[in-house]
Amino acid sequence: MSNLDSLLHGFTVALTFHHVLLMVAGVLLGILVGVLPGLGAPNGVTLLLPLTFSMDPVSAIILLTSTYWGALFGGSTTSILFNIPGEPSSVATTFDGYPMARAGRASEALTFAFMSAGFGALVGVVVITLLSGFVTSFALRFGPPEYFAVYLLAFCSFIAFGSGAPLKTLVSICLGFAFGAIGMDSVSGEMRLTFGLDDLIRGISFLVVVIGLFGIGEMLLTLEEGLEFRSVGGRLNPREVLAAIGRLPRYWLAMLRGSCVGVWMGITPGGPTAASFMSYGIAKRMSRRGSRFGTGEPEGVIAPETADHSAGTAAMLPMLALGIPGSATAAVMLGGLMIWGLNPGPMLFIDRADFVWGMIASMYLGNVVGVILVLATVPLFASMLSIPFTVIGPIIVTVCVVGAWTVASAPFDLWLVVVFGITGWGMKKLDYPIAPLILAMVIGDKAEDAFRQSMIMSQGSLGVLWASPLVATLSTLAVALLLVPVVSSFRARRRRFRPMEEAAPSE
Amino acid sequence: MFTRRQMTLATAAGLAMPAVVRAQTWPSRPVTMVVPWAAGGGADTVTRIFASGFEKELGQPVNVVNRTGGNGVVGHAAIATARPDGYTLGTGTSEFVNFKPLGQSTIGPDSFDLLSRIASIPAGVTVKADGPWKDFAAFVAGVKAAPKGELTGSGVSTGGSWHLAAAGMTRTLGLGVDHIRWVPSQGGAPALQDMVAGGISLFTGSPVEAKALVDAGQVKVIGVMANARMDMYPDAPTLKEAGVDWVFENWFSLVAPPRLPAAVRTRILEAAGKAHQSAGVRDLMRARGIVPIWETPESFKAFAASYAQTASSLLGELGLVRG
Repeated sequence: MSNLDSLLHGFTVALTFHHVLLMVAGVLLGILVGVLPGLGAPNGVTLLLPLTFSMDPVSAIILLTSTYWGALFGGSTTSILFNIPGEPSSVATTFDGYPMARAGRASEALTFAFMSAGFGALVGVVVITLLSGFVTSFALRFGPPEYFAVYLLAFCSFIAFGSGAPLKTLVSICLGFAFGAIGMDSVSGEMRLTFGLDDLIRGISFLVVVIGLFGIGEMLLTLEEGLEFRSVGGRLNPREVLAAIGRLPRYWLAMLRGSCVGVWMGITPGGPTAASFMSYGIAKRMSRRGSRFGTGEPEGVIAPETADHSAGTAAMLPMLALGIPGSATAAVMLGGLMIWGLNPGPMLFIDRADFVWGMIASMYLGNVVGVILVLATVPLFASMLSIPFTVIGPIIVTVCVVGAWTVASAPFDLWLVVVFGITGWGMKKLDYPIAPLILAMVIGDKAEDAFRQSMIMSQGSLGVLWASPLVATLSTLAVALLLVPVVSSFRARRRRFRPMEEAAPSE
Repeated sequence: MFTRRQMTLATAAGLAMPAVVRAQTWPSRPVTMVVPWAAGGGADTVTRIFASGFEKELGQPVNVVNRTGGNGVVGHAAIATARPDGYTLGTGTSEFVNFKPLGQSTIGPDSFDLLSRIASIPAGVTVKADGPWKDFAAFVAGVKAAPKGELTGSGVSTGGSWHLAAAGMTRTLGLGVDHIRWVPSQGGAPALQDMVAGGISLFTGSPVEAKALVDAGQVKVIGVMANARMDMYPDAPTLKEAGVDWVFENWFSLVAPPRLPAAVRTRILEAAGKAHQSAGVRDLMRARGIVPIWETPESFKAFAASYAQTASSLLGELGLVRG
């Protein structure tokens, strides 16, 4: 087990006072970045990148990765407390996290989120440590058809949602696809749906839409309903955190399932956002408590959180070994590596073993540090819920607007936030589900690119989606997931109408 | 430390000073350099290395700001429409020459004060390590033998720089510009991944980006479209050496909004030129496979014009010119 020897060597590199201090600083910065909607992990790491140019590469990567972990943790906090995802990958956490908080179980939801996220991250690092060779070869088998199949699978596993009128869900999905299509089409280079507005050339940022629909929309609803957060949990007992930790092992299956989905999406690399949606969808289907998802079910928090973090961690390996970033944040770090004078690739594992294994060791330590730090902040964050709405409301609106500004420093985005805020309020009043819109927007654009690339490669033949065992398995699974609810509802209906059908032939 | 009184005086003096005098004091505050591409990419790396030397010469910090989106349109528009006071400069990349022909924007070489190219990164011919071609000669024979559209290339979006590199190469070989079917990609890394996965025949992007996969034994660089071989790949011949008279480099340049005050412009050119000559800047670029370039505004203008001509003729033959 030479990997384990290398890892132990890595710990000697990472476990210095200086490096642990950097981890703490990174995690704290990351939490701050993650809590602010709009200012996501990629932005946070980008902002820090210039600071690291004068640092030694090991310290630099420890600071950046720790910031990333912190941001992943922080992103879940506002999802749960205010229904405002701080990170794209924590949108799925709002589905059950926010109902839990409203039911006075905020501390419990936060604890579950943080602990399961930490667990997911550890699974991710363990896989990286033990299976580095296998994992890197796997990532290289992914071309456009495989990507499309993965996105389709993520979509199909989530979309058969059940709740809500099917027609309204369909409208939401179509709106999401349309918003995602705005801007330059990278396949043909043409402008789409820009209506001659220069501000639309760069497209509508997914973050701006999330901030509007969730953040401002939620504020408007609260205003309408009487200026206070309902069912605020007054009990702020650190013991609640410990009690929640004690209950966590009960959900081992959900955690394991989430980690598997996450690791797989991290190395393929489909990215943490797709992973969290996919994990939520799968958990909803497979769990015995699936029907209670969306009403404040702990499993609905655990599933996306484990997947989100394990995908984030696992995405580091293809970046180091092959120069293929598995997430937007990994892409920024890849740029960092180049600037520090390190070339990613298999030679990095040999020439700069101290760097690679120091970084992997710091991923273990950084996540442990992260979990401890965020758990310590749970009572603090949860107490934010007992602040009167007249104080916290304006703060949230300010944070939302600032967050929207940081996405691209464009005044136009601020108007978009307002428009989407009103849209979000309207959608909630009229019972149009928001989640399918977000999913369509996040995955739709990427899926479209992958599909059109595949079609150019195959010269228009759909056979490319069944061309190899890997892609065929993915495509078949996706189609099956899509058809199962249709078939089962059809069967149910047949059963119900059986008496009438039997009556027919006798005429 | 300034006292408040001194500050007031200074501000008043600043307001009263005529533009010429103020220009001589440029820069009295930090300078912003806008990069139209994401942090960590080629343009960003070039700019940050250059900025590190530039700020030493200026004695003021140079902030690198990434304004991404719309294939570079957003960032280039931000540079072109900034106040021409010398405090906003930017990195113009070869794409801005093609915005007009592609119908993406009205911004073109005339929208900027073209100061100088800073650096270039040559295109290359990168293929799968276990593919059918052992060297560039075998590749050329293979391309000529293959029917039009059988081979696929990737590395950038349709009409992007590396697409032009491929089109120009096949045209020089006496074949059609669309002899190699272009599969658009979101950048170098995904295109290389697609090639290893088996869907793409060749990658014409920067061989520097292919380094990790070359080391991994997955791909090989069999030719570079530069005037001289690259230090990183001493065994890969230039296309010229191999008898194919085609050079293509993606370039990065220092540009400013038009109508800079003359004194500021002179000062920028002087400081930037000095910064560019420094060993720190040049060595950092070379170590990353980037070719440093510094020239006069006149020769950059002439280069941009000839590049625009080549690019628009290729885009025209590819059927991508709109408007």
